[in-house]
Amino acid sequence: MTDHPTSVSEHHEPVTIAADATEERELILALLRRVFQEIDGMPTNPDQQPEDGVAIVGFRATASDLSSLILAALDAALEEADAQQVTVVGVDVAGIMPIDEGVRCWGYLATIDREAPRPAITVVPPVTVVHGPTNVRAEAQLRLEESTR
Amino acid sequence: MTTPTIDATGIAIDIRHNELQILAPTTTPLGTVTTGIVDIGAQGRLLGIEIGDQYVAVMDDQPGAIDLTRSVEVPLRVSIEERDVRITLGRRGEDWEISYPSGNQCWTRRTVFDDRGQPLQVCAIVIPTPDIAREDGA
Repeated sequence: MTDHPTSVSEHHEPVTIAADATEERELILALLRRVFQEIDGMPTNPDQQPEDGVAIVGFRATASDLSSLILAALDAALEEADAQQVTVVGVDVAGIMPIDEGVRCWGYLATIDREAPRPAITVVPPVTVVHGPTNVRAEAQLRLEESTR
Repeated sequence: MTTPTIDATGIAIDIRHNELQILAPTTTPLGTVTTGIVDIGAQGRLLGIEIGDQYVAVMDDQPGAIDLTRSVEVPLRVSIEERDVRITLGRRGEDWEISYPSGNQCWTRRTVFDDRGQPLQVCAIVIPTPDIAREDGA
């Protein structure tokens, strides 16, 4: 058997966002930036059980290129939150895929009732899976943006 | 006859080529196979792929979601690496798409156990490793 996949954590520092003092748009953007910053550490857990009072809402966004995807994701998150009448307190970008129209991302929003007080949020970057089949990650030097042009 | 099932031990997501690479211990030669039938479950989860006379299981379906499973024939490539087989297929086609695995995630198979009797953990990684934070200025 070749190298068995293993999850390890690397170069991740928790960041606290004072959500109660932040506009929702800025909060979501900060969360998205954090996720995109660690995009090889995209947290993905569709089976995740939400905490009490937190509802998980799916979202997806499409943009012509990667640089505009983060804003498209922000808009999608805000639209979804508005449609569901909830406040976003967490963002989980689950995946990214090049498509005919450009690039798409999808994921989940952790949301609370709009009437509930918004908590301060500590963004804990996800564990990064760095070992996989035959250490393919070590072979990878190309950048995501090149793949989506 | 029941199709023999083998369990995927690792997945790589090649974003550049928009392909999935599935690694599994091989039991019989698959070198000439060029198509397979993928089972896609709820939320676009790749449940497994029938290839040749074998079935490679990847993810468990969500409880109660079996009715949402669909199957589609897909082109693929097979290569042999030591004792493993690497199956490469696209992440989407004209009328289908695989959303999970999406990369950088590990999951536990509910009904499959490793050599130590523990539930089998399978991980997916993303290739290439992107770094767009600097592009974004974050």
